[in-house]
Amino acid sequence: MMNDEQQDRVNVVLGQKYAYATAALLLGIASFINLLGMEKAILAIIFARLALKSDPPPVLVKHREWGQAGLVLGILQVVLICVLVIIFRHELRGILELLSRLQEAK
Amino acid sequence: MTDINCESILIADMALRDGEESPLGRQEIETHLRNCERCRLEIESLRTVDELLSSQQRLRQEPNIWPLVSARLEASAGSAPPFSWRVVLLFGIPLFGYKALLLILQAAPSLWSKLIPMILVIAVFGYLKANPFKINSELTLRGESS
Repeated sequence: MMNDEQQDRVNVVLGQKYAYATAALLLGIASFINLLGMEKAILAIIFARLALKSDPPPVLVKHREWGQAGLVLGILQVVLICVLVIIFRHELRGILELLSRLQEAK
Repeated sequence: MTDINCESILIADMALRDGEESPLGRQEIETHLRNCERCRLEIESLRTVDELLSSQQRLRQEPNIWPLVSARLEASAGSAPPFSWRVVLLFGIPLFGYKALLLILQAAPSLWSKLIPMILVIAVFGYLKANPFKINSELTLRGESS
């Protein structure tokens, strides 16, 4: 028979393992998806949002900085990629055309 | 006026104020006080101390402390700590600095250009003395340990 403290510890470890399992599955799926590198940033934003939201309580205190860093870096990466795509849109179009020609030549 | 008389006056005044029987009457005490400044000052200071002590109230223990605990729990659950830029900057400056450098120099992609960000991240985790892959069993469910 476990006391309350041991039960709490088991729940904490299980909670962390559950989070790792979820992260593993979603990152595994993301490895098959290519959104110009944005797929990882989008996942970072989603995970950070889930970690930082206050409902349901309690609010995350320890490692909250990690969630905040993940959120900001994810947003910066998405913004950076969008800006680069807009700036280099002509070059990107050229690359895509070259790739399609290469595909046809095969 | 002798010291013995003064002392008996002070004792009599104290007894009267405490509602006890006094060997001297109020009239006698008042007469003495009119002529003895030392007793007047002494009695005045005793009255001040007496008033000060009477104004104090015994701390009352509230048997039901749950409303206080509940209010504090709700407050701690609802309020998130403020945003901290420390970790953001620790990871952001090296990673985005490196990326910006590659863009500015228009460096050709190579194995090192892919490995350097990973090395930077490992260095930052080393600086933070934190392992992102460690399961921490020391955390508790009721609030997080520091």
